[in-house]
Amino acid sequence: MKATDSLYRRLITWLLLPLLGLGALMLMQAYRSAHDAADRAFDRLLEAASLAIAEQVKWQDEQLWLDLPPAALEMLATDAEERVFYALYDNHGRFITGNADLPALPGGDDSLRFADTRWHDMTLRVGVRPARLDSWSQRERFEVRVAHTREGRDQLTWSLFTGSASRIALMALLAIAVVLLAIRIALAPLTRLRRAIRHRDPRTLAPLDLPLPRELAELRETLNELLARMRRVRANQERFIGDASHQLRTPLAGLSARAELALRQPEPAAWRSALETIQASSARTARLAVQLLSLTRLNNPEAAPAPSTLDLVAVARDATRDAFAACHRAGIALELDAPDTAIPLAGIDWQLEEALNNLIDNARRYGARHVTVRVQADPPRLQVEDDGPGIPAERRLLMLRPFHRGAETGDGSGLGLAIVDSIARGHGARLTLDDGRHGQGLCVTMTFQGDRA
Amino acid sequence: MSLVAVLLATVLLTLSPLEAALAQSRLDYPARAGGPGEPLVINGALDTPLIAPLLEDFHHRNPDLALRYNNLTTLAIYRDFLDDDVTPRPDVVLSSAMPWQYRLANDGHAQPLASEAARRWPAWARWRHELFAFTFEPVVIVYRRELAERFGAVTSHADLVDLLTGHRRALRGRVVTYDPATSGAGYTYAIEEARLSPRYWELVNALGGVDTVLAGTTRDMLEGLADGRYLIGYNLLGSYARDFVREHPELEIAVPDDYALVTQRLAFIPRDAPHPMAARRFLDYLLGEAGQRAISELTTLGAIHPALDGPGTANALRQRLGDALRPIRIGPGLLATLDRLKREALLTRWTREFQRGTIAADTRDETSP
Amino acid sequence: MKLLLVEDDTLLAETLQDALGLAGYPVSCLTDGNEARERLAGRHDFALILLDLNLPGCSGLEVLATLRSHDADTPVLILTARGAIEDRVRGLDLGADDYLAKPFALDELEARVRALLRRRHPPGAHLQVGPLAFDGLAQRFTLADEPLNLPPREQRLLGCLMRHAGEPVDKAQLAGEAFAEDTVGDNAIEVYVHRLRRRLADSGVELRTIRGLGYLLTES
Repeated sequence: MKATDSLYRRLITWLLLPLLGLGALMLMQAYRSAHDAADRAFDRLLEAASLAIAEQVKWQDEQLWLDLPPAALEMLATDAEERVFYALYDNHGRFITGNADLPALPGGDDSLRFADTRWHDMTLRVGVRPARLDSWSQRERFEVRVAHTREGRDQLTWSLFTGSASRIALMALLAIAVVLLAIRIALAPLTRLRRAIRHRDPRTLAPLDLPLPRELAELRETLNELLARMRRVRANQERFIGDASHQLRTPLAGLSARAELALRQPEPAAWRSALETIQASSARTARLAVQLLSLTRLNNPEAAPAPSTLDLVAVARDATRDAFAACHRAGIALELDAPDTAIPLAGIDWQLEEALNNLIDNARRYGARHVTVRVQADPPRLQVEDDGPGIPAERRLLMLRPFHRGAETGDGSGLGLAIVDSIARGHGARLTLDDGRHGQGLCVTMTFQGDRA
Repeated sequence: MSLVAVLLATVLLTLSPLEAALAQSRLDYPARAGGPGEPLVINGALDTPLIAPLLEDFHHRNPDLALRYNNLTTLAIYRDFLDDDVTPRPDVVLSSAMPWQYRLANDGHAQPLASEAARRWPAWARWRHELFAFTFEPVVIVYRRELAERFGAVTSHADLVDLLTGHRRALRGRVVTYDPATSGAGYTYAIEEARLSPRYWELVNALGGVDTVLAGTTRDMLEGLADGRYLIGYNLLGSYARDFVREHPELEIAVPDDYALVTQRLAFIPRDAPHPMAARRFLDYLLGEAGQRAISELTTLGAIHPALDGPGTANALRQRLGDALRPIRIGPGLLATLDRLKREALLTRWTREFQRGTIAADTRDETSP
Repeated sequence: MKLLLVEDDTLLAETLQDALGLAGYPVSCLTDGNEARERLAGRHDFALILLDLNLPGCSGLEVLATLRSHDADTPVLILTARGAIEDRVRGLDLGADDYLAKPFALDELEARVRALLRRRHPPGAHLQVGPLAFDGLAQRFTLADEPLNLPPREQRLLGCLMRHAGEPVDKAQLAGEAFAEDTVGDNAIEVYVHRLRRRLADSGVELRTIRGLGYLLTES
């Protein structure tokens, strides 16, 4: 959603939304407290009016008597011209006098209480004052109930609230301004980082040296670690190029020297022998060039193709078929040992075919007579076993490094196993070198992780 | 057509008292141009001769409306309003009984008027845009000219008390005032005065001392003064008095200058008015300059409109009397007037003070040579 | 049997022309992609086409596409210097029969050319594997010049194996190529193979079983 495309917007959203939420809460609270304040202020009127009336209640002619002071009623109406109601009840709840039959309010017996009530389609604020006569002979209880409509209270509530609200709004605006400014200032290091990276020479892998706050410093360190790894990789590549150029230039030098020499000799037999040498050497150099290119492409992570679901058995069959003609011509027996059912795997088919091809090719060049390509399941495995001279155990790991050769003789380029190793690593597979059958020859196994299809 | 109706009413008035009474209780003005079929019903406690010019003026300006004015007593107005069986329901209720009108409005029976005229109406002359005072009628003292010639003009309550106590024998039985027990207006004035004047009970005492006659209406008092039965009347309705005194030059009106109560007629539109639009037009007229000018020029009711300051208007009276004017406040204090126990208490006291005055006077008579 | 070679490198082109010519296959040579397309646009009389992919003018794949748009039969062998999988896959998808990556051994090239020619062998031609011969016109097998009488099914089987001489052929391929019209079970094939093996015993030609790959007819 939108939260992922801008840190600035994310900060703003997460700071401002809660701020607005808080503001809304404050407004609600301000309204509540304005309402309560207005009620408290106006309830004083009910209190005073009911007291003024209660003071005029006396006992006369065997009944409660009231000389209603008009001022008590006038007290209940403010500039808002509220409707006014009053009533006097005896201690049995009988209506003595008044202009409305006001409801009783539940609550404590002797305390003054206030409540809002609905009466004849009007909302009234009622105050109930329980009292008793204070004369020598009479302690009769009675109740004075006074009420008025809420216009004045509501006006006061509103004006108190608008006062508060405008202050809250002002503070909110200030807070928003501060937040925006703060975010801009806080994110300034990001801008600096961005600029520093943008202004780098794209070819340099030097570490980024920029003072940054702690959180960004971690990012900078991670970036510098990446750059260090890239420097190592580049060093490796440069070493590889050095080795490769040596490996290419030497036989090429040999080739051209041999041809030059042959041209100086008059006998066709010498030419024939020179041509044979040249043909072998150029074939070897050509293979080296192909493998170098292959290895380079494999080591380039940016050109990594997406793995797809393949059938390991079909891949092995295709590779074996491809290699059959060359092996057959060389008199080598090549066969495939694979189950009938498919073995699904996630990988890149042409890479696995190339790996098998390299292994079969290696076996052929290093003197095997019998090569078996084997596919197994659980875990998925590709295996090439031959009956050639094999590799001594202690040298097996070295063989995986480019340009390492088992024997100085042989047609190999020293890159075959390095290529297979690279392909195995690319598929998350383990490459192992073991003795072949009966302790003779070499068995190279690529073991994939189970359940990867 | 309207003129004919008025003439008819007047003719009937002279023909028989009963018919006159009936004729006086209703005025009809049928619609001239278009308009709704049913008439706008106005219930009021104002005598038809006084309100007729006003209604005519309104009808002239609004020919599409039919009008019916019912003249009822203030008590009938109140009772009929609360009785749902009485039809037709009024569209406008006018009454001089301020506490009762206030009670009806306070209980939520009035609908607010949201017009320009209502918004501009002075705050002291309205309550909540629901209840509007449209007249300004001071409560006055009326006396016969010969009284002034004999004892001097009476311009204040203090003068009155002095007069009553100083010339008891001459005035005995020749003074008249409202009976607070039987007259709503009288009771209202009594309770207001008791509240605002510290010497009120002294006055009541003095009234008792001259065996003041207690009347039920201003009209009774005015007729008595015109007859010569009474020499001085206290707390008469100024509007009626002015009207009456115009034709009886032997009488004089005095608006007391120490304090003068002012009563105001209150109007409201009931929430359940059958013709609210027409009702609003009428009330807007009453509060508008046109209506108020009509009140000022065609009646003696006293206009309130701030733009008017002719004789009898609120502005003029204020200029003349200033602080002495004490309009009865349109506020919750009026509810106290209606309180049953308060009424009993006041009347009890009033009667007691009145009778005490009488007894004291008798005693003095007996003891003096 | 005339062959067409489309290759722009002079040294390689001349060498291949000479080598294949010596092997009995006259070779015409073209060096430009557009020329090749024109030449192959209509009917032609080449038995096989050797096609380099990196050509001036238009690419070898376009030449192949143009050829295949009206000619599905002539075998095409792709020569590719790039060795990238894309070329190989696309080439095979577009209808090439085989491919060979440069640099290659001449032996390898000749073997593949012969294999392709044998596969697309016109019905009336002659097949020879050591002492075993097949006369396409007379539809007769001879072993060391002695006629070899075979029941029809064994004939079809042997014919198929001879066309693929030097390559292993698995049972599925045999069933499809030799016995296309009827359904023949694996067991039946095994029986026929067994019988053929006996007939060819000590003849200088043998029918070998290559584990995992199928049956191979080869000179012993």
